[in-house]
Amino acid sequence: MQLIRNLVLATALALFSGFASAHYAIDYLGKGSNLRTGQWTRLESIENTAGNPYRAALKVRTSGVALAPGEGLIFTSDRDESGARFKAGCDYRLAGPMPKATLWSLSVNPENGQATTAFADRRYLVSRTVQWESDGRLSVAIASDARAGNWLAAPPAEGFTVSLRLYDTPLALNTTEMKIEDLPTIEKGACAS
Amino acid sequence: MSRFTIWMLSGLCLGGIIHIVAVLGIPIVTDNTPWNGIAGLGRTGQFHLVNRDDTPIGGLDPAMLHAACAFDLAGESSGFELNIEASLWTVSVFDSLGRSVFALAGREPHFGLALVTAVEGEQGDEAEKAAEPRPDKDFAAKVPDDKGFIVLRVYSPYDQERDKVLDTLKKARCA
Repeated sequence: MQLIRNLVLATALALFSGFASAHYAIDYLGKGSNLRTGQWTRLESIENTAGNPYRAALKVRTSGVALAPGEGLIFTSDRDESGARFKAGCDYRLAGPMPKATLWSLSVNPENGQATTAFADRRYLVSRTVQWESDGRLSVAIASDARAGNWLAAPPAEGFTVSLRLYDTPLALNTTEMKIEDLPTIEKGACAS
Repeated sequence: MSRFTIWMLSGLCLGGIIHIVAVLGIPIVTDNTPWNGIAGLGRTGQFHLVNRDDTPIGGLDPAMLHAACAFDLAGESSGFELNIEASLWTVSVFDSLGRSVFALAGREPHFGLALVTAVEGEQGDEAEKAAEPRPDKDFAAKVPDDKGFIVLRVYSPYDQERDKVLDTLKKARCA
């Protein structure tokens, strides 16, 4: 009786520790170190899986294809300057310099992944079409209702993230040189009561 | 050491083996590879427009046009040429598991890429030699196995230019 009990417990421990640790390790060791610069997180490409079986497993499990390093870099932000997550009904202002790139785009991504049909053409801004401040900096309103000037349409009823994609950028060669002051900041404005 | 402790330590050792087998086994046993996802868009060897986030190319940039083409070189090197008049394009070549093997951004209206198979052994050597005398292609991407796919991202803000790009991509082949 004791033998059966020990066998069952040992098998349960083996299965739990084996699969749980594999799941945890693939998620955390496979992702590597996404580089955080201020409010922005650089989505590290997980293309290079050589020598890291956790990364190879994550790559297959997520089955996703990211922007390759030779194409450019992606940064995302889900929080304002105070560290609070972006909220529906609040206005935000993205301001500051933009990193050097042949082309960049800024886009707002609703939390549920579904693009809103309203203001679909204002879900993104591109470097070629924005209006620059006289000091060469950028100022963009992120709000659910229309604004004059550079405006990104935020979803009216749910949280969101902001993505900054840099295409053909020299920063892709050495991302460790990236500093907080190279990227714009996103400040919270007024919220609907 | 009690017998119970020995059983539990044995369980942990077996857990370690399960951990290793699970991690190394996922890439081998899965059918859900990025290549399968791209090949599911339509005929292999042909570019297909991608405008949904539920494809393996997640997180699509709404500012760009996206097209993808799955290929199977079957031991023979291949290549393709594209004439895209756009403000900016990027092309990236991935192996069947979605690992980047080549990526480039450019603005030139003509682009040629040779896809060179890197299958080991005699067959691979012959294929590589066959790919050598191809000065017509601007670049060459060495693909570690026969299967892979190409993702093309195009920034084309003007309607007339955009229509031309879409027309080109609908007819374009990649291998």
